[in-house]
Amino acid sequence: MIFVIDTSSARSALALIRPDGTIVAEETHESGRTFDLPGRFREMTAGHAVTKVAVATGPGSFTGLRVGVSFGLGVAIGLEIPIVALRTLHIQVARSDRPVVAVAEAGRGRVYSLAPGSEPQLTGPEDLPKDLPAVGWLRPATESSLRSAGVDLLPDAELRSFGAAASRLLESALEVAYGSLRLEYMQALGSAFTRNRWTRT
Amino acid sequence: MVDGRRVLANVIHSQVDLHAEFGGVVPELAARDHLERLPHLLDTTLERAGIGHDDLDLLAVTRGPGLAGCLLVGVGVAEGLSAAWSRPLTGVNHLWGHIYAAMLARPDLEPPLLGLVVSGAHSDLVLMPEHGHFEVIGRTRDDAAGEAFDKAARMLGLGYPGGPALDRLARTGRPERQPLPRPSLPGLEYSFSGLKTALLYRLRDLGDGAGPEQRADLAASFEQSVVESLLEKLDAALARTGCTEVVVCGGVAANTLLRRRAAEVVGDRARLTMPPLDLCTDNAAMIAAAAHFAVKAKGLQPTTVDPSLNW
Ligand SMILES: [Zn+2]
Repeated sequence: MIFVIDTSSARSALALIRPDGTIVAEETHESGRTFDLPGRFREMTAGHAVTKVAVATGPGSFTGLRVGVSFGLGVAIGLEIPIVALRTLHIQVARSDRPVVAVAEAGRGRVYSLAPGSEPQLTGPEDLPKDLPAVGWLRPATESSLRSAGVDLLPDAELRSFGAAASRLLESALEVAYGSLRLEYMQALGSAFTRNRWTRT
Repeated sequence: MVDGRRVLANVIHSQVDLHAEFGGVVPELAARDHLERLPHLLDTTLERAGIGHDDLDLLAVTRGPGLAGCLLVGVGVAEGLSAAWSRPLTGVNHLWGHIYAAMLARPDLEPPLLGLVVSGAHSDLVLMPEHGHFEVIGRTRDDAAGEAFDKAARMLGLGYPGGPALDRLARTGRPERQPLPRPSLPGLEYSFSGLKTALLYRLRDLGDGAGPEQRADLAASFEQSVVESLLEKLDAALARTGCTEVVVCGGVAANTLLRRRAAEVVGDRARLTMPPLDLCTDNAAMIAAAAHFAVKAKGLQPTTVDPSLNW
């Protein structure tokens, strides 16, 4: 069984997926203090043998991202099973069959976005492309500012579930060595820091 | 760790080299490094202890105070391990850990005790009436002692980490040739920012005249002011509390002058314990010891990350 964790955006999502890609269980929660990740893990995996962990590595919320990735790493190390990294925006892209702009909450009214054929960006709602619909989990205020900017945000009902999207990505996702798991950062990190090392891969 | 006193393995990965080129801790780099190093550290620790995870009864992790990004990584990994191994997990106050480092150094040491925790982030006078209970009776209003040493070292061109370099340079200087003010607030509070400004002005006044000898004298004088200020309040707290056990701990407790002068100031009024250098600086054994006694006294403690955890 593959346990999938994405706590990087405005909603936190978990899924338990069989190696053949079928979904055993999945759920989403409002991100924040009340969401008990260890508790949900225990309950969802009770009676199942977890053989792999998948974590969303961002870009995304400072706290949520670290909580999900480090918990997933702890589980993988503890159970001595592989861990795979899923890119947050690519999960949202995989929720639709149409070309879409994936978005994730970046705070302060901004979003992380991924348009087809380009790299993830940190932008304001007004800078998002208007010719493509958007897919992603945002805070209500960010969501309405996207709509006011003329962005067509697709409703969940028209999209594949989180688990189904993750299942698609898992077909080609590569395992990562425990010590090489990295978060995807987009925020400005200060000149001293961006000067070097940052580009180290 | 066995029984809160016996260390089977205590493995450290220092980030000093990582942060040296920036002249201080870069929070984002620190958190990232924790994520990358923890897997190997865990392996190494269990291997050196000669045990498997089945032998563990309790996991413990620092929940604060500290850098938010780093705490989140530590607590997250610990919660993952706890879920994977079906073992209880308890959250620990990092500062309690520093006090418990003294218990590792001296197995017969028991509260009540008076503690002076001095590090890059803290200058706290702490009363510990019994295991798991702490009362801060004095602390710094601005810079911590270790922070003051780091900043002074930077002004004197000594690089990072500043504490040990300042300590070495001070050994060759004569404080009386470059007197600096000794901060003294009423009660048991500390303040080091005025002293730092005094050093800055002195260096500016000396200009090109601040040769190697003057710098050594200034390092010695600055160190003396910090150390005597720390000990003046320890002395007052000792008189007030009448404790017969005193612990001086934390990274700054590695300072040569502080170690020597603390022994003189405490004298025969109390028994003084200063952990050896490897237990003064941050380490996981002290966290395990604090966890053991806190759980015994009060049960499992929350693991909610709290960067500004206030005892
Ligand atoms: Zn410390």
